[in-house]
This record gives sequence, C-alpha cells and structure tokens, in this order.
Amino acid sequence: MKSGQGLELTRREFVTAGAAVAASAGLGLGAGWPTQAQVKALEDAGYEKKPVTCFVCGAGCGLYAMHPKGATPGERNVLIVPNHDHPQRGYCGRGASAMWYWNHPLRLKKPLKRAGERGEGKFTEIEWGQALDEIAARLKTVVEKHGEKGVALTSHDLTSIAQFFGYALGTPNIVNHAATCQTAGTISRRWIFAPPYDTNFRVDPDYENARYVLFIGRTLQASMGAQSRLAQAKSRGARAVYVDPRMPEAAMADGEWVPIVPGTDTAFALALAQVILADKSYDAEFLAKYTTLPLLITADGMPVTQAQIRPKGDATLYAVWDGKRSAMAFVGAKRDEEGKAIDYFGDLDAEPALDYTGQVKLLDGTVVPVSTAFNALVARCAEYTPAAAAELTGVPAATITRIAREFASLKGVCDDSWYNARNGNDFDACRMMVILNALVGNIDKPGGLCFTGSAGVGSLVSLQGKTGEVKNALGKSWTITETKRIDTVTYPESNGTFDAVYTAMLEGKPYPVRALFTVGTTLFYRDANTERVKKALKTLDLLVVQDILPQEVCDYADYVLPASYFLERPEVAGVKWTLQTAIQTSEPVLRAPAGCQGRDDAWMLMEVLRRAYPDRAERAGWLPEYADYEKYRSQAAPVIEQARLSAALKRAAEKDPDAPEKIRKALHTQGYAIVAKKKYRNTLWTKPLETASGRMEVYALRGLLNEKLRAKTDPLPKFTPIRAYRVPMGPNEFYLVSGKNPANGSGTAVFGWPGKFVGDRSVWIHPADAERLRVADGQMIEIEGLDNGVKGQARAKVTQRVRPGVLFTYGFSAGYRGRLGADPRFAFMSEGVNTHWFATGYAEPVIGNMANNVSVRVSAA
Amino acid sequence: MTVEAKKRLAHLFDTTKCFGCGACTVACTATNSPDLMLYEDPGWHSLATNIRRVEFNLRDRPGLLLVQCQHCESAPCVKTCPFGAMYNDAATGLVKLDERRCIGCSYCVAACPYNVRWKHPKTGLPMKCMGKGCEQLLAVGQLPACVQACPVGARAFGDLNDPGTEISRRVRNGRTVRLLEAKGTKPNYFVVV
Repeated sequence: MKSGQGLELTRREFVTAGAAVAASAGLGLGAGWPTQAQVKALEDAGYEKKPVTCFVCGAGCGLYAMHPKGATPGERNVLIVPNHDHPQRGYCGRGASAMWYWNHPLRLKKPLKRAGERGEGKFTEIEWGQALDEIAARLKTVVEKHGEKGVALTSHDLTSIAQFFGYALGTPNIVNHAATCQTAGTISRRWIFAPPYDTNFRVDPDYENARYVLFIGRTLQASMGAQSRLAQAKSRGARAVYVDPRMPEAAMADGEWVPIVPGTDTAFALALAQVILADKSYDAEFLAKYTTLPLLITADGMPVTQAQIRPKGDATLYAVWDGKRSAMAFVGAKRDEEGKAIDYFGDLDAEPALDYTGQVKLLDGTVVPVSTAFNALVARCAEYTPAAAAELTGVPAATITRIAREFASLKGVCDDSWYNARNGNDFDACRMMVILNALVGNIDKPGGLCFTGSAGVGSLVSLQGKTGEVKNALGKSWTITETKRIDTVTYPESNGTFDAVYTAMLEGKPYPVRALFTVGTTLFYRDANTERVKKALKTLDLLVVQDILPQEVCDYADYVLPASYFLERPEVAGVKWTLQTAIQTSEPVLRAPAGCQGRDDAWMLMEVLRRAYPDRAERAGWLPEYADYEKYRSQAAPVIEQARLSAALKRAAEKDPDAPEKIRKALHTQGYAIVAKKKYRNTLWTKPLETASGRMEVYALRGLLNEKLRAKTDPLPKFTPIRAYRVPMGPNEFYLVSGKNPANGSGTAVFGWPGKFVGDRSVWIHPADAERLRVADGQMIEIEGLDNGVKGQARAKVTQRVRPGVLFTYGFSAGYRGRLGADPRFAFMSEGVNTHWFATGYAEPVIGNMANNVSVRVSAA
Repeated sequence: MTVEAKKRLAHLFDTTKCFGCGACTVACTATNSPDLMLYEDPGWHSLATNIRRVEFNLRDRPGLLLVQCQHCESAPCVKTCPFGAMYNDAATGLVKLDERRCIGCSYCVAACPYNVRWKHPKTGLPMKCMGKGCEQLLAVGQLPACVQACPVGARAFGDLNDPGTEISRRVRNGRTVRLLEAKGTKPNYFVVV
C-alpha cells in the first residue's frame, strides 16, 4: 500500500507526532481491555457460543464461534470472536477471516481423479467409493513392489493423523515440513535441554513478566496470546528489540528494529555473548551450578568422566574443579531403571569453577591438560568482538555493545524462535539464542526463558522407535518392523527434512518412495527448489492430496480428496505457546456447506487402509461400520477425542480427585481448562534435564557422545557463512528474504479474500537500492535466481523497512501457480514471487534444516 | 452543526501497540458487512471495511496508522449533506446517517477529509464506522468489533465525558494527537503516538 494513501495527513504532521513516540509506557491495559463479559453480553442477546481452536495457521489460538440461537449457522450469521481469557487468546487477521474459508468459492467439494498429465490440473469428479477403492488398489501395488516404507505421508499441522494411518499401514515415513520451519530451533533445544523441552512450544519466554525481549529473526506473528502478553509487559515498560533484515510489523509497535545482514544472526549473538563475558556481567553462580560450562574438557573437546580417573568410576559423572576444596569433583544425573533422570548426582556440595585450567591423571597413568568448557566458550566468543561482528552483520559495534549491556543489566530474555529456517546455517544461531538466556541466568524465572508443562492430552498414535510398538487412541497396540524415518538416514538429527523424500522419489536412494499422501499441506509454499519438487512429484506411482482448498500440489495429484474444515470437526488438544498448562476443546460449529463432501482426514486415510488391508485397519481399531461417514462422526470421532481427553483427566486426578470434573466443566463453559499454573524455578532448578549431564548443555555433549556425530558437529556454536545460496555481490544482486506476517501468510490464508487486502505480495526494496536501479514504488520488477536462473515478476514496494542490499517478501503469501485453483476472482494469489522458486534445496548437514532465503538479480520489468 | 451530546463517544488508536495484524479490519467486515464478504471497494481497492491502513515510509521510524470515521464534532459530511441525512447523534455524539433522507449523492463521501467513507454497491448508501453490526453490539453493552478484536489493546472506545472510562484515562495519561485538526473538524478519534 502506498504511503499515506488517500489521507491528507502530511508527513510533517506524522513526523511531529512520531517525535513523541514511546511516552505512553505505564498506561496499562486496565478496565477497557475486552474480557469474557463481552461474550456474555452477546450470549444474553440471544447468541449461542461454541469454543473453537483456530486452525487458519498452526498456533492453535482460542476463539469462540457465535451464532443466533435457533438459526442454522452459516457464513453470514456465525461471528468469530476472541476467547478473551483463554491462555492463548486468539484473533488476528487470519482468525478473523475464518468464516471466509468455510464456503470459499474454491473449496474442494468432491473427490477428483486426474484426467490429464501431472501438473496440468485436469480432473474429473468421482464418488467417494470409487476414489477410495482405486487409491487402495494402487496403494497395494506400491506396497507389494516396494514395501510399506515405499509409502510416505507429509503434513503441516496434521502429522499425527498421517501417523495414525501410516503406522497402521506399517510405514515409518511420515516426514513433515520441519526443515523449512522449525528444525534448527527444535534441534538446538534438543542439544541444550533434551526432550521434551526440544518441542518449540515447550520452551517459551515469559513475555508477560519480561523486562527486555530480544527477538532475533522472530516476529511473534502467530500465537496471538503471546503477542497479547508482550503488549501487557510493554505497557509496564518492557522493551522489545527485533534483529531482522526487514522491519517486522511488531517492531512498528514501539519496538527497536536492528537491521542485520541475512545469515549472520550467529555472529551477532556470539558478539553479545562476547560483551557479556568480557564485562563479567554473566550469572556465574547459575552457569556453574546448572550448565555444562564448568565441565573439564580435554584438548579434543571431550568431557572428562569419573570412569577415566577412578577405578570403577561412573562414565556418566563428569569432572569439574571444585573451587571450594581445590580438588576434582564429579557431577551428573541419577537415573531410574528406564534411564529417566530423576535427581542430581555426584558431589552435590561442590562449587564448580568456571575458569579452571590444569592437568588430570587418567587411569592409564597419562597426564592430560584440561580446561573448563567455560574457557572454550570464552575463546570461541573472543573471535566475535563487536567490531568483528559488525563487519559480518552490518550492525554497528556500538549497537551490539549497547544491546548486550541492556540485555545483561535488565536480565533480558532472548526468544528461542519458532519459524527459523532462514539461511541453512540457523542451527547455531538458534543455539546462541538459548545460550544468551543462560549467560544472564534467566532460565525458568519470571520474565525469563521458561519451560512449559504438558496437560497430558493423549496422542492420536505413538511409536516406540526401539521396539516398534505402536499405540493409538482407539486403545489398540501392535508392532511395526521398520521404524527409522527415511530423512534421518541422511540427516540423523532431523525432525523432518522432506527433501530426503524427494531424493528417494528421484534417485531411489536410500530406497524408492513411490506413493505419497499429503495431508493438509502445501508443498509449493513450504519446500525449497520448486522445479525439483515438480520433477519429484511426476515420478510417483500414486499421489493423493487431502485438503480444503486447491493447493498448487493438487495439480500433480492422482486423486484430490476434499477435507473437512476445522469449524466442522471436534478436537481436544493441549494449549500451545503458553506458560500455563492447559487443555482446550474445539466444538463442531458447522456442517460442510451445501454441495461440499469434505470429510475428516483420518476417515479417508483409514478407509483407504480398510479397503487395502482390512486386517491392518482392524488391528488399529477401525471398525467396518465406520465406512459410513455419519457413523464415524457419531461413534469413532467422539471415542478418539474422549480417549485423548481421558489421558489428561487421569493424570490430573492423580493430584486432585475432583480435577476431572472441574476440567470437564471448564471445557464446557469456556472452552479451556488450566490444569496447572506456571511454577518458576522448577525444571532444571529442582530436577535435572534429560541431557547426558542433567544440566543445561551450553557446551553440548550430545554430538560428542555419539561417535557418528562427533567429527561432524561442534559442542559450541560458531558462525558459518551461508552455503544454501550464492551470496549476492553485484550492484543488482540481492538477498531475497522471506518471513511471515500476522495478517495472512498461511497455507489456508493465502486463499483468503481478506488477504487480498490485508496481505502483501510485493517485494520490498530499500529506497537507495530502488533509486540506483531506477525502480519506482509500485513498479513491476523482474527477479532472477542467482543459483538457478529461474525468473519471476513482482511489484516493488519501496520502503525503509528493509535494509539496503536486501529484498523482502512474505512466505505463504504470493506466487500461486496452481491450475486447479485458477479463477479470475482470485488472480491476486498469483501475484508476486515465492522464494522457493529460486532456492537450491540445500540442507545443513546432520541437522537437515533448510533455507527460506535466497539470492537474486533484479531489473526493472 | 455541533450538538451538545450527553455522551461523547470516541475511539482511541494506539500506534505504540498496533502490530498490523489486520484483525480489526477483517472483524469490521464480518460484523458490519457480512453481505459483502467477497466485495472489493473500487475506490480504495479494499475489503468492505470501515478501516483503512496507512503506512508511513519515514526514514527514522516507519509508521503504521489505522484510520476510520473520526466522529467529528464539526463533521464536514454533516455540513455538506444537502438533505440533512448526516447528523451528530444527540445522545452519543456519534456521526450517523438517517437512511430515509439519503439519496446516495455521495457528497459526504467526497467531503470527508479522512477519506474513510465508501459506497455500498447495492444500496448506494454511504458506508463508514460505525456500521450496523457494531451499533447492535453497542446496544447490548458491547464494545465495537474492532476494539474487541485487537489482541494487544491498541484500541479503546467509550465516553470522554465520563472521566472513569478507559478511553478517558488513556487520553488523559497518554500522548495523543488528533488527525487533521487544522481542518476544524474536532475529531473524536485519538491517536496515541
């Protein structure tokens, strides 16, 4: 949108007003903050309310759907409003537009069968019975030729449903989109905190009580409750700093924007650490007591264990230097029979020194020099002085020093990221984001980086990797023989690198994948290197796409199956992205609109299974009568949701026998139930983590203790230049950075009519670059990938909100090229470019995380 | 004509809180124009909403402003209307339309210096904040849809004649400006800066 469009407000007038920015701190949100009373007033006026969990993006925020009592709910009388007191109080541009997707003109209505070549998007409508029978027959053929593992499934936020079917069939290959989303952050937490605190929402800043929040690349655009809590902290004086190549919307709300060169976040964070270490403003007591930094390591980086020093010593006890006694001491975690860490162990009264250097005599008599991991961190950070980091990051050294000192003195919190696949070197950046919190001792404290609880809502299905035992929510269990996910063959630490499945499709390595089911996901918005995606999809013997809207991937499908919308189905789930341990329920509000035969994803998958392998459907508890969709809706779906809730109720009853009744009542009346309020200084402070040392592994042992990983990984983060794409050098070459926004930008919202207006499909360019290239605001520009020569066109937005040398465009927003969904009314979806067109598909070794950013050449179109 | 209102209902928009999520903009359509879900206003190339987003491309600090009817005490639309269809509501001070008198001439649309009016494609009536849906919300004691929608409390609405209201408190304690005051419109839309 053009600056000041149509409004006669002058720049001068706004500048004058802008000079007074930031004077409103301390106002508080007070009595005018909308509350549940607003919803009550609507109920009193004759509206019926149903709690729903928003699914327009993956944050799962709490909303209410309200409609006049007695009236048939439909698109014009269902009002979507925030569930104000919900722990993840919802409502953004995406949630507000929820009713636009239900009866969307492009909504998939009937099963479709391919009638043209793959990619042509030509289909004929068929009946459900024919679709399921034919898919089942083709699935059997693939399994007979290539085995169960020749079948892969992928999803965005419905992975558990894909697993529900996949494990029943017997394939382990349910590989999601994580690599281009959150892998770097998840694996960084796995290395530092270990499961379950690797999952992105199991560790989160305590925004509400924060004093200073550092966002390195994160924009907090999805979980609206978190944004809401941050706003409340800001009204009490908290400050928010956004380090990003472009100025995110959130920074416009009185935040500080620090423009940074793409791909240099690790160097920036290491420089902050360098200042904190040099200033000695770190929390020495915390680091000594709760992290691996006092561990003694040898020259090769390996930690010294008690077993190396004492006869019959314990190999899980790690050597530290006890400063109090001037003697060696040992620390570790005590474990139960199952190997679960239950308590701290070793010389508990030792005072481990952080900066010891000395020698250790090993059992074989050799004497080796040792030094603390802390010293290794200091040495590593010494390479990244503010001046050195300024050269890499483009952030002035004085700014780096100031932010480091503010962060340390205010005991700031650095967000540990969610959507963090940026430049293919993000694993160490994410590690540093977590480590900064450790340096100032701000872990699991008010205003710090906190652990969140689990309400214990039962899984739809679970697989024990070691035994192959599967259990599902229908109360059944069985074993499968193949449990290793195909992407972990190449990327042993990955939690989902779908690119490995493309390799299996194209090259048959490590073995062929010949059938793919996509469950509510859009490969073309999420996966790097679009041409490779197309080529791979064309090799398949069977591609089934399940969705509510004609995602681009549909064009390549053999069968497209219309799915149900979240407002049409029930769900019980834990509440994500909140420090409160809570359960939420989503009630069906609507049936599918007239003419739409959308069905639940689980139903269509299991009906394929029942037709292909009735015995496997039976072992999974899937009864023949569920073939009748209404019977599934009235019998199986409620049983599944109740089983999942029962798991949580059982756990709650262990502490309070009355809890289940209270939870049920709360879920019924308000749509959520808080099972436990946040207790600070709990995990890590009173009980060890599941890491090898039980401690927070700032100096990571995970790679060191695994022979296969040792040579390929580093126990400390370091800056690695971008390898995912050629770094731009010429005057018309740019980084093209992708990111999210809070107004649209999700696989669903990209189709939204409101998104046409509140979204943005332009490519941002800095005024200095625009002037040099003679590009005017609103002008079309041609963009060509430096690595692959792929071309695209977009409208330029000349803005100060992006740093020179960098272009920006929103991901999951622009460049739709689907043929099935081609409609002149929705032509706006095809505007702009998708960064994946220009991507190489590079994945970081071992970790498997990928890049959403690319490099391009620009000219006026 | 300026009317002495019993109440002085006003909006507040806080630029230090808004992060541009669009919730208010879309909620306005859902609440006030459910008949125009797939409509594009040809004037603004906008959703059928009463809220406009304006981004200021300032070098030192790019800014974001959401603008809607300012419910001016001295409203150009009220003065301009040849048929007396536009008026300041005596009880609330809000600028309203008497549909019985409106012939759809659009003089009010052209007269608004804030450029926040648009025309309904079927009825020809001039549209703006507050829409009928929000009027109904107010009638049952609720806040307007945009205020309820905002996840960060960037909006407030209420009676400025009552010092105890949230908006009075925020206007009193915050640093606010009103837009285009030089036009003599006496707007009741306060912008925290």
